[in-house]
Amino acid sequence: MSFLEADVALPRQQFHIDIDICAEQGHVLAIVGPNGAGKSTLVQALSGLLALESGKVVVGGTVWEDPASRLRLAPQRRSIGVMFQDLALFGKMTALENVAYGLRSTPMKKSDAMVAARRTLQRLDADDLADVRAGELSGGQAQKVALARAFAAKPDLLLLDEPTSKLDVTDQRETRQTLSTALFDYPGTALLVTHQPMEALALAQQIVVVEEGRVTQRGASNELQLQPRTPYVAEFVGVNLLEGRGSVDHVRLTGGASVAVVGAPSGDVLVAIHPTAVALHRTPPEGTPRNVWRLDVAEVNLEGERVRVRLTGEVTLVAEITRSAAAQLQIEAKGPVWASTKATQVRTYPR
Amino acid sequence: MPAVFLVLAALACAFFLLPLAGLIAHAPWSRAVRELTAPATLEALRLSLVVSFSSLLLSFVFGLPLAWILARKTFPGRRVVRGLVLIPMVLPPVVGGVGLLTAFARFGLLGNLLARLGIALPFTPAGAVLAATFVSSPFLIVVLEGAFASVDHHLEDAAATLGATRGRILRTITLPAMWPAISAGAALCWARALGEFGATITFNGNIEGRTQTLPLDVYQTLQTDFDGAIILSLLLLAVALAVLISLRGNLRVR
Repeated sequence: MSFLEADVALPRQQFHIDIDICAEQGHVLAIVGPNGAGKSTLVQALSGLLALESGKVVVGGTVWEDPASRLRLAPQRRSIGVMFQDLALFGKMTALENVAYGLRSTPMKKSDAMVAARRTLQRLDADDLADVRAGELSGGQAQKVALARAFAAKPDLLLLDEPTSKLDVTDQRETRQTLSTALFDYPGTALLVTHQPMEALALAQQIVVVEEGRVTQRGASNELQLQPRTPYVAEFVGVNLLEGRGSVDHVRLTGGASVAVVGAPSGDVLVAIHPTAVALHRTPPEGTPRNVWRLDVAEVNLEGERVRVRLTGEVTLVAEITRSAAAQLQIEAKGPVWASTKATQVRTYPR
Repeated sequence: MPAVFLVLAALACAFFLLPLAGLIAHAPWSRAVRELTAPATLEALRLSLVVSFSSLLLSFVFGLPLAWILARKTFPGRRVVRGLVLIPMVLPPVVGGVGLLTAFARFGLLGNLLARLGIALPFTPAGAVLAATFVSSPFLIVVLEGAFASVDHHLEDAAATLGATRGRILRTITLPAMWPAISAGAALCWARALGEFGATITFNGNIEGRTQTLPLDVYQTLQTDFDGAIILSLLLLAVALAVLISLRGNLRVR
């Protein structure tokens, strides 16, 4: 039995949510998924702010909620720390008072709570903010204080609802750094809701993908990268995902095109091609048998030294090439391009 | 801004200002000291302050829970209860006074029971508090209800996840967030209690040193001594302004 075992089922406006998750003590579980998939609802249900319709929540062997036996602990009685999407800091209190607020709920003396709160802020490198009113903190500072408040009392379950979503890139990097400091050797289990691939891949041992209230895939980050099961997951890990029927050495795609592969399972299969495995040419390439498609450039995105090119045609692909290659190809110019990929670079797996 | 608006607004200001100017212009300042230190005046002032603050306290004790329930709980008949709270605001105070008599006088619905317990309300200072509370507490309750409804629930949820009990959430999150509304509501409620006349005189008569508050004193003095009534009116005005300014910190209501 895992430290956190939860099956959360409840109705929401658009659809019914039914998400089951489990996680080990000391682990970080990332919950990813498109907007409105039910991620925040999951956080609210686990924290006790929303009642389950059915299912069960067990943390560290203690049953927190079990509608079948009409058991439901109030949020106050759950060992949780929540970092809300809008932070919900107490604006008129100082950062230190915010962090000490949860500690004051324990039998801890006020002076001890203040000391412990200051230590928590120190640990996140935010002790200089201690006496600033929460309402006057900048975005990144407020994020740090909210994180410190959530985990100051060392709760069994730490719920982080999109902790870096509203920050600019610099603040995001810093908050992510703070997060990894806080989560390193954290004794409880942390649930990290995010739609930032970087965050999930860097911080979590396990990733659960939620789409329209259901779990569509779960696994370690490399499992998701190798065999994404839905278009969302593929997009999330940055891999091309195609569908078709496999037979021996090729896959007939749903759109009609064919992909040469090395040993395809028969039946319905998924095909994953990493964008760096797609080469681009201005003239039809010659040589060894490989996959070649004549495609149109739909979109070009610069990402540092790399260029991501979205291609449409008989297949839809993203190719990632170097900047110099893009310049040589005159990728922004009109006219078709030929995309090629080796059969050995194409992964196929049953759907 | 249309010029006609400017003219109308200026007229409205003049309308509010003129009676005050009149009071000051007609005040017989030479009599002021003697009139203000008269035992009857001091007694009426003391009673007015006791009655208005007692009724503010009672309004809080009973009104705060009622406002919380009206704002946060759904129950059958909530609209009826809300309407009930509003009745004293729209009822002519005299009618309120008659109603209080039919409820609390010896012959009233509860009067017999109260009499057996040795409690007599009409024509007593306690009766004056009762009448003032009846008329003024809705002003506090209505404002508090609105404030309870508009407090950010999210902060209360956050406090709950941090283990705070309901009482602690109310004390540390909800009430501090409501502070501007609380002081505005208290100011309205207290001012209404201080000025209460109709229900008080109907329910309690006009007994000097017992139920004669300042407004009742003004009314009685006016029968025989216009100048004296002006002095008392200015006293009432000064008390109201002094308390409102200290209660609100300034004269802005919101």
